[in-house]
Amino acid sequence: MTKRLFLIILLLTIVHIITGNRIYSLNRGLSPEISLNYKLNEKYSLNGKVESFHFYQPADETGLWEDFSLDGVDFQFFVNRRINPFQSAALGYQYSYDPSGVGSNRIIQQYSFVTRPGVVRFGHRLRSDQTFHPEDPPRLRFRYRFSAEFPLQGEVIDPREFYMVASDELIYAIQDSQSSYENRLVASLGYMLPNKNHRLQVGFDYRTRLRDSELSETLWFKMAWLVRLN
Amino acid sequence: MKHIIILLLLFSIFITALSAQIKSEREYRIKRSEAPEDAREWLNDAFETFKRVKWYKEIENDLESVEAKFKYKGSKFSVKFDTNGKVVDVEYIITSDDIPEETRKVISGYLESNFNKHRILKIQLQMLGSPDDLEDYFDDDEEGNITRNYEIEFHGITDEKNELWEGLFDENGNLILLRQIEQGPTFNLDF
Repeated sequence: MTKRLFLIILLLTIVHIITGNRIYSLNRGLSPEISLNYKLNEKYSLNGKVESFHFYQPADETGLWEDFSLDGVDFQFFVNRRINPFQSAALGYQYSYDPSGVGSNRIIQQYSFVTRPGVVRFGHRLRSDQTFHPEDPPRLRFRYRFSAEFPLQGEVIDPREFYMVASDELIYAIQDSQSSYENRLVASLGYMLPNKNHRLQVGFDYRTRLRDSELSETLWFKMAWLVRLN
Repeated sequence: MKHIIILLLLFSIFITALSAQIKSEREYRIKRSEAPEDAREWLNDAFETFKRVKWYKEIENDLESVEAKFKYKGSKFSVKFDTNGKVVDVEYIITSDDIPEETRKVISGYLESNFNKHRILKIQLQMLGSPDDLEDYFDDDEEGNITRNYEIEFHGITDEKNELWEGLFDENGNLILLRQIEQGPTFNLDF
């Protein structure tokens, strides 16, 4: 019963934030994502991800579609090396498409480890990335993300079952000797399809950023589809 | 227009995903009232002082079973029943100090000779016997005809493998069964 109530509240919140009246001024939008994972052998795997960002800016007398404007599309590709059952390291590349300007290139390095002391799986990720944009000086970022994943039915996530994933990421960025700080709080409800290689996740990605002593907030409604190809 | 194309693309791949079905193997919480009555009664008779029990149904290779999980005398217990409510085994978490020294030596010998490196993560004592013998053991501390096995979860490295394993050892420390533990993908925590 608690779970059902929780789901109803989550759904109502989604509906309210996406279509409801503006209560506070906050950038918000939709962000669909597809993530594909392919295992090459015992040690190496590939991960590809396409994620787009659509800002929601309601205007009077226009349809719902016109209220969304494309902010960008990220194409990510990673080569992941498993160190042992708990740890892995990955190298990645990202191309960001910007509809209003020139795209940027990014290289990414990361180390991650997963623990499972009980029913909850905890993930830790240390990441650094460097972004190159033809019109801007390079931007360097250092990030740490802590995440927790737990099943809502039983003790492991099985096909046709719901689960939750929540994470918080701290990001420090430096560009042209100017620092900025970002926090990303993400909470998603996931569902494993009858084919256990497919998962769907919907949730919120709440980002706060401090730059030039100015605080900006963005709330993305995320819809992710995660696929394991083999 | 851009949004519509993206949505259509998502939808079409989604349909492909739904169409491929595989054998279902799962475990899920059930209500106390959904557990077989005999199982509930047996549990009440054997363990009189525990507080909260979580009931689960498990389906593995088309075989159904019911499991009760609870804490008793500071240890985590898991009792498995068949669908008629007859107890199959009782497992609870112990430390390596709880294993008799002779047995422990044999188990260590096996791990040392078969793995370059190993680290034990969890040990469970598995007790098998008739429902009456098991009940008398926990209820009255009576040693009937009970078989003890040790289920050990460990991280083991060989020349080819670096994995998590589960080894089942008999009461003398001889290996009965070794299997690799499937951990499930971690890519949603990594990326």
